[in-house]
Formats: sequence, C-alpha cells, structure tokens
Amino acid sequence: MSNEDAKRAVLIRAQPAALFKSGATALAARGRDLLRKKEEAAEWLRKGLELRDTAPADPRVTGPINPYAPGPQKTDLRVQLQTAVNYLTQVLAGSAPDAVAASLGMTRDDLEVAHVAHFFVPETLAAVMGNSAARIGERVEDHAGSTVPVIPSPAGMGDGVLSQKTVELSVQISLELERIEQQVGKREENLEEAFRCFETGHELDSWNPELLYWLAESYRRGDGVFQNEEKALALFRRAADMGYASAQTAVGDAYAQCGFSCIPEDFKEAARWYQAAAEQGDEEALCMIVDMYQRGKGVKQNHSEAARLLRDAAARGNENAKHNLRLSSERYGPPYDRCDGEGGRSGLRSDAEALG
Amino acid sequence: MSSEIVRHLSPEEQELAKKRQELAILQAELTDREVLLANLRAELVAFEGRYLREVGVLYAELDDWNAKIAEFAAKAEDTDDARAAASEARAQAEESYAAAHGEAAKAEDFSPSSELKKLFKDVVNQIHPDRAADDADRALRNRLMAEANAAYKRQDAAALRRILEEYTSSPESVKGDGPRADLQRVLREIERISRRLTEIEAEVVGLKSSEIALLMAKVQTAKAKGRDLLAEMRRDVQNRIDLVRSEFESRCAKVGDNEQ
Repeated sequence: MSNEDAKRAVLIRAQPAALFKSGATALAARGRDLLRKKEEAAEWLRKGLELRDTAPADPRVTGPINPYAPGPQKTDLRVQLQTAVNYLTQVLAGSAPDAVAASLGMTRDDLEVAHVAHFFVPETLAAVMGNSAARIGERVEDHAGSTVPVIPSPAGMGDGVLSQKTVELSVQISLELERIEQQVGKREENLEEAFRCFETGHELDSWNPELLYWLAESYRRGDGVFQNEEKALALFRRAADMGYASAQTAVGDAYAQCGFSCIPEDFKEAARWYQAAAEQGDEEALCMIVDMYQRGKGVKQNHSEAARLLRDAAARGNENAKHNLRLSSERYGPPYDRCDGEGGRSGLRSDAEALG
Repeated sequence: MSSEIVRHLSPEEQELAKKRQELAILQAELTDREVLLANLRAELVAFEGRYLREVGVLYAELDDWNAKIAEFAAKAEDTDDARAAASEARAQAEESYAAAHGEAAKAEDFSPSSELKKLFKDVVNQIHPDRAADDADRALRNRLMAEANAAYKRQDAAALRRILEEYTSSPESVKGDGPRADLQRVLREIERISRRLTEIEAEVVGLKSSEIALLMAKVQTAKAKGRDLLAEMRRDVQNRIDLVRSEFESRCAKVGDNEQ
C-alpha cells in the first residue's frame, strides 16, 4: 500500500502550483509552466550533448588491436603500449612469445616497450588500459612470487640489468600512462556531467524523445553512470514508441543482439523496428533491414522490398544506399536495376523501347 | 485699417493657442493608445478561447482522471487524508472543467480587417469620454464607448457605424464663453487625457504580463520559427492523460482480480 501511496503522491504532485489560482488563468499558467519546462529540458539536452562532444576520446584498449588497421603509426608510444597489452595478454595466456610477436607484426622496438611495460605496477596498467589489461594485472601478480621471468626479454636487453635504454623507456612510458590517466579522468568527468544534464532535462520533460534516447545511450555504454542494459532498453523503447528513429534502431539492435545481451534474440521483432527506423531515413537501420530482406532473416526474403528501401534512400541522396544498390545489382540482378537514376539496365531498355 | 488687421493676441489667447496644440497632440496619442489597448484585449480574449479549446480541455480531462484516481485511493484506504486529497482533486477537476468549457472558451478568433480597425479608430476619435464637454455628454460618451469596445471585440462593423451615427446626431455641447473659460476647459481636458494615458499604460503593462499574454507571446514566437507550440502542448498533455488513465485502469483491474 505504501508503494501505491507514493505513486499517488507523484501523480498529485505532478500538478503545478496553479492549484492555487483559478479558472482560465490557472489553465494558462499550467500551459506556460509546461512550455518553460520543455524549454529548460531542451537547454539541458543541448548542454549535455556539448559536454559529450567535447569529451576527449577514450584512450583505453577495449578489444584486440588489429595491427593492419589504418591509423596512427605504430611508433606512437600509445599505440605501442596498446600492442604491448595485446601481446602480454596472449603470452600470459600461454601462447609462444615469438609466435604472438609475429602475429601482431611487432618490431624490436615494440618488443622492448612490451618488456618494460610488464614491469609497471599492474594496477596502474589495468586502470589505464581498461578491461583487457585488468586480466594481465592478475596474471602478473600470479607470477610475482616466482623467479621465472614472465616475459622473455628481447635479445640485447639483459634481464635484471637496467640499461640506459630501459630507463629512458620506462620514464617515457610512465609519462604516457599519466597522460592517458588524465585523459580518461577528463573524459569521465565530462560524461558524468553530461549524464546529469540529460537526467535533469528528463525530469523536467519526460516526453522529449531525444533526451530519452541520450539517457538510454548513456546507460547502454555506461557513460557517466553505471552500465545498465535493461534500463537503457526500457528508455530506448519509450523513445522508439514515440517514433524517434535512432531509438527504434537501438531497439532493433537489442533484438538482434547487436551490442545488447539482455533480451533473447528475436529477428522478427528486430526487423520490425529496423523497418520503422529505415522508413524515417535512419542509415544504420537501413543497412540492417536491407541485409535482412536479402538473406531472409527475420522476414521473408524479399529483394523487391530491399530494393524499394534502397531506392527511396538513394532518392533522398544517401550515398551508402546508392553504393549498396550498385553492389546488390551486380550480385542479385534485376530487382535492383532500375536504380540510381544514373542509367541502370532498365533505363537503357526504356530508351530502346522509346526508340523502337 | 491696419489696426483692424493686425490684432495682437492677449497673453491668455496665446496660452490658449499653445494649450490647444498640446491638446491636439494628446488627443491623437490617446486615440492610438485606446485602439492599441482594445486590440490587445481582443487578441488576448481570442487567444485564451483558442488555448482553452485546444489545450485547456485536455487539462480538464487530466484533472478528471487524477480526481478519479484520488477517489479510488480514498475508497481503498478509507482515511481522512485520502478523502481530503480526493475532494481537493475533484474540486480542481471541476474548476478546470468550468474554465475549459465556460464562456471564455467560446471566444472566436480575432482578426479585424483594416476597414474595421479604421472605423473603430474613428469612433474612438469622436466619442472618447475624456473629450466630453460636460457631465451629461460624458455619461453618453461612456455608454457609447463601452458599446464600441464590445462591438469591436465582436468585429461588428455595423454596430460601430450605428454608434458613430448616434453620437454625431446627439446635440453638440455649446462652446466658448471667452478665452478664459476656454483655457480652463482645455487645461481640464489635457489633465483628463494625461490621466487616461497613464491608466492605459498601466493596463497594457498588466495585460502583457498576464499568464495568457506570456503564453501567447511564446506561441507567436514559435510560430514565426515554424513550430506549433499549441500542438506540442496538446501532445504532451495527451501523453500524461494516457499515463494517468492506464494507471487508473490497472488499479481497477487489480481490484477486480482481488475480488474474483
């Protein structure tokens, strides 16, 4: 009953101070109150998004590093450290150091960095490098008492002897770790502040789908708040019901288990949400639903529907859709032909018909 | 001969001429301000009607559901507090209903033609009570002015014309008992008009800071930016109604389950 009480109290409190005024003026005051709250909420949303935009990028390693991926040069100490974390993970898991080094394409320099990094306090390394490094921390501590060197030193770096190069490298690494730590701290500060903005805005105007979306996104990624997928999904769901395209895509993702694992896979449901978002011009949802139609996943295989979605998007000037149309046309043929308006096969045919 | 043509004005006559000029300026100003005030009043009444019809009725519905929930809770809990909350919520709902379906909600949109505006301006110019010569004249002018204001609010051009005719056909007051008396009259008129101008100013400020005027200003600004605020508000209140209604229905269902 006390729960009911609280609910009723909330409902009654939801009526603004206008209780004390009367008649039409009171109703007008409630309208103005509503507008003021909506405006304030929009202002909080703007502030929160700005904070997110200005937050520094996350420097931590969150997954395996692909040494062949385009990006900064591997001589960049930060990238070397990330490679080192990757290397240490695999070696401590029991892989042969040489094979790992070869598979990661590590140079002698990289190996030296990995060797020195291994002597750093594991907690610091873990805190700075994220989840994957936390596991290394445990492993290094497991080995702490043993005399067996955990990581073989590259040739030329004597075990236990602090060469000039090792000292220099360790100074550089400790400075870099400090910079990373600062960046992470600044990022988290920004994200927490942004989350508070979204929350305040949401309290003022609980029907703003954009605020709902960003609140949900923060919960999903754990930005500025403890990660909570269920809560994120509930909020995404509300924004999606209100027709907010990005939220519809997110709900689709949840059913397709893309980045979510809190509900069972249901491609039929995923397709429904992707379709709704794609109709509104959401690019990610478009890619997903087109793929589902082409492969008959969650929906009946239907090339003409996929082609229609792509054509609609291409007509709106979506470059990805145009590209996708060309590829699909090569692969599946006719349904995708009458396509980009730049002379597909049927364009030629109708020309021929006109001539004939 | 020349002495008959060149007639020096006495100091009193000079003063009178100056004051008459001043009066003419004030009278023109007064007409403008009266028309502006009448426009503002009519616009506000019209907007209030629109707001009550479009959003107010939804608030009334919301209050009704809230009252239903409170009454439901009062029945279930059977405490004095709950009963008090329920009767308060019911009173609020009734008040909202009366406001949203009362006279104010019936006001039509106000968009006077330029012809009507000009006609009204003529009426104000002719019959403003502050330009009355004596008390009897003032009484007549007061009555006609009130009628004119009402007719303008209704956008009733025929009535305005009738008022104008009625006044011009009424006997004009006799003027002039020499410059001294004229000066006295002009001075009194100046004072009256100044006072009325201050009153108008105060009323305009009061009207412009009223809830409904602030709301209207926001709606108009948003409209200039291509947004329909009233529609957005309708959606918001409707959302809240849906929430409260489903809450009420789930409570009813729960009680139904318990009884079975």
